Amino acid sequence: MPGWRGALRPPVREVRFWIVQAVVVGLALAHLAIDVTAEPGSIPAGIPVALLLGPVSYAALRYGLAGSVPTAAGAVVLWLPDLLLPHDEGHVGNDLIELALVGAVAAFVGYHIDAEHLARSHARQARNEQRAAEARYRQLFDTNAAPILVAGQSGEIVDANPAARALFPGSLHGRPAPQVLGLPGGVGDCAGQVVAIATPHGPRSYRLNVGLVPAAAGQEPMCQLVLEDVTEELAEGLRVHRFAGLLLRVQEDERRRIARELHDEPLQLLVQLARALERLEAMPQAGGLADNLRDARHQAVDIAGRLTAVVAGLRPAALEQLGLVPAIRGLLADVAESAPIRAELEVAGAQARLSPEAELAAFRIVQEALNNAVRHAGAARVLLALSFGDDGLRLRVTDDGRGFDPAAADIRPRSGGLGLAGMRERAALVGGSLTVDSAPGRGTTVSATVPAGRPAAEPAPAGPAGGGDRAAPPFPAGGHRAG
Amino acid sequence: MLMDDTRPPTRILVVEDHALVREGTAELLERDADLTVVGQAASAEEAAALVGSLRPDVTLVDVELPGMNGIDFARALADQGAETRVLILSAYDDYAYVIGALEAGVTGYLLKTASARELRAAVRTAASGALVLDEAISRRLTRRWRAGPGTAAPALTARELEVLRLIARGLPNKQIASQLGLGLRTVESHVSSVLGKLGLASRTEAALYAVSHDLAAPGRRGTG
Repeated sequence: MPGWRGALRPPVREVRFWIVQAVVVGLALAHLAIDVTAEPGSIPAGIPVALLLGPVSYAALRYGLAGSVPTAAGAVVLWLPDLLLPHDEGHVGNDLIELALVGAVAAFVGYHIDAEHLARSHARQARNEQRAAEARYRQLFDTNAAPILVAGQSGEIVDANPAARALFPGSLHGRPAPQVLGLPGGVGDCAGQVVAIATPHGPRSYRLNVGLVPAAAGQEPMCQLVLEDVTEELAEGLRVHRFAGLLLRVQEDERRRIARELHDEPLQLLVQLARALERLEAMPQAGGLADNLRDARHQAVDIAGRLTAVVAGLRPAALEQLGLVPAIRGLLADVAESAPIRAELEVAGAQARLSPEAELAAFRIVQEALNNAVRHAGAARVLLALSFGDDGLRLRVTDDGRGFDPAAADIRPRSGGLGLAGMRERAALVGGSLTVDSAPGRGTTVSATVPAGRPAAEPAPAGPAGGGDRAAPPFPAGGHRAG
Repeated sequence: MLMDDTRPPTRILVVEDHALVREGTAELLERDADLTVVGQAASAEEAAALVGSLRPDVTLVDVELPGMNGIDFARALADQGAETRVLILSAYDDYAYVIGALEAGVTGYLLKTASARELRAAVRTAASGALVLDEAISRRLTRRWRAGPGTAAPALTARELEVLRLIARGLPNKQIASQLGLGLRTVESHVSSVLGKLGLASRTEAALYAVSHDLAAPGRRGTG
C-alpha cells in the first residue's frame, strides 16, 4: 500500500519539480491577468483551468503523490485571487469544478504511480533476495565437504558439487543417480540407505539424505542427494556392539569358570564329606552320636543340593553337553515344575547343532521369554516353537498372559533378567534378530531368528573313542541291553 | 570277600574324572561282598577300552567328563551293543540330563549325594536290568506330574499297567509282546493308550513316570 503521507514530503530538491511549480504559477498569473483585463460579460477566452492537468500529471507521473498533491494544492492556492474577483457566477462554478478535477487527477494518478513504484521495488527486492539465496546455496553446494548430487525426478543427475565429482570419477551428468550409487530402484528408494564407496582414502560408508530442491518457476522440483559420511559412526556403533558382545561373552565365561570351580572342588568335597559322615554313622563307636552324624550328613547333602542349584543357574550345563533342544526341554520342565503353567514344545526341521554362541543366545532368549511369561505375564499356557532350517534357527515363544504395550514398555531388565533389550542384543550379537509382539490383554509372542554360525566341533556321535581307535570298537556284539 | 556267596559278584567299572570321588565311590562299593569294582577310568575315552576288556556288569558314569560326556558315552555303548548296564552318577538333577540319559539307553540315574546304601542298592537293581531312579529326582518328577502314586493308575487297565511296567524295564515292544503273549499291534496300541492317558510324550517319560510312581515292577526299585 502506498502511503498518503508521502504527499507531505514534496521532492523539494528536484529542479524539475520547481519547473513544474513555475509552470503552475505562470498559468495562474496568465489566467488572472486575462480575467482582470477582459470586459465584463464577454465570453471568457484566456487560460482554461484544465491546462493545470499538464503539470499536475507530470508531477504525479514523475514523483507520485509527493509531486502531484503539492502541485495541485499550490495551483488551488494560486487560483484563489481569481475566484475572489468579481466574476459572473457561472465562471466561478466552472473553475471550482475544474480545480476539483485537477485535484482528483493528482490524487488518482499519484496514488497509482506510488503503488506501481512500491510493487516494482518489492519485486526488485525479491529478485535480489532470490539471487542472494541462490548464491548462498551455490556456495554451500560448492564448498560442502559432503558430496551432493542433484537429480531430476526421473533420477538423472543434473548437477554435482566438487566433493561429489571427486568421489565419482568421470562424467556424472545425465547418469541415473541410483546407478551411480550402486543401488536398485529410483531416487526415492535411496533415502536413508547406506552405501559403501571406494575412495582414495579407503572405503567409506555414506548415508543418503534425499530432499527436494524447489526449482525455478515452471520447472519440476529437483532431488538433492546428500551423502553423509557415516564411516566413523558405523565404526563406533560396531565398537559398542563388539564391546557389548565381549561383555556378554566375558560374563558367560566367568560364570562358566565359577560354575566349574564350584563343581570341581566344593561340590565333590561335600559329596565326600557326606560319605565320610555316613561311614562314621555306621560305626559301632558312633553310639549316641549316630543321630547327630546323620543330621550332619543330611546337612551336607542339603548344602550340596543348594550348591548344585547355584551351579546350574550359573551355566546351562545341559546346553553344552546335550545341545539346544534337550536343554530347552529341561527348561520347560523346570518352568512347569515351579509354576502352574502348561508349557509345550514343538520342534520342526532337522535338529542341528549351532555355534556355541548361537545356542547360548537362543537358550537365553527362550529362558527370558519363559521367565517373563511366568513371572510378569501370569500366563497359563506357553507354547515354544523351534524351527531348524539351513540358515539356522527360528524360535517363537507365545504365551496367553496379560501382555503389554511394547512401545511403552520399560525394556530394561527386571529382577536380574535380560530384559527385552538384552534379548534383542543377544540375538543381534549372533547376527540374528528379535521381535516382540504384544498388546495388553492379548498375550505376548517373542520371535527370533538365530543364524547357525560356525558349529562347534562335532561331539563324536558314534564312537566313544574320541580321537582314537574307533575302527576297532572293543565291544562284543549282542543284545543284552534289551533283556 | 566274594567267596561266601554262591553267585559271582557284580562287576563294576567307575567312570569319574574327580579322583577323590572316584576312589571314594569305588571303596564304598567294595564294602559289599557281592559288588566288586573291576576298574576305574577318568574319562569316557579311557573307559571305552576297559568296557571291552573288563566286561563290567554295571558301568557307573558321571555326566560331566572331560572330552565325551557321560550321556554320549552311554549312547555309544548302547549303539555298539555293549553288554553292560550304564548307571549315571551325577551331581545334577537337571531334567534334561535325566531324560537325555534315559533316551541314551542308561539303566539308571543316581545323584552323587545318594547315600552309600542307596548307591549299592541302585547298582544291584541296575545289574538286574530294571530302571533305577534317584529318590530326589523321583520326588521331583512326581511333583511335576502332580499325581500321587497310584492316582493316575486306575485310569489304566491291568493290561496297560503291565505294559507300562515292562516299558519301565526298558523292553522294546517286541519283547513286551512275547512276554505277555500278545500281538505286536496290540502292544503298540496299549503303549499309545498309556502315553495318551498319562499325557506323556515318549516311552522314556512313561518309564520315568512308572518308576517315580512306584508302578514299575514291584520290589525292583533301587532305593532300599
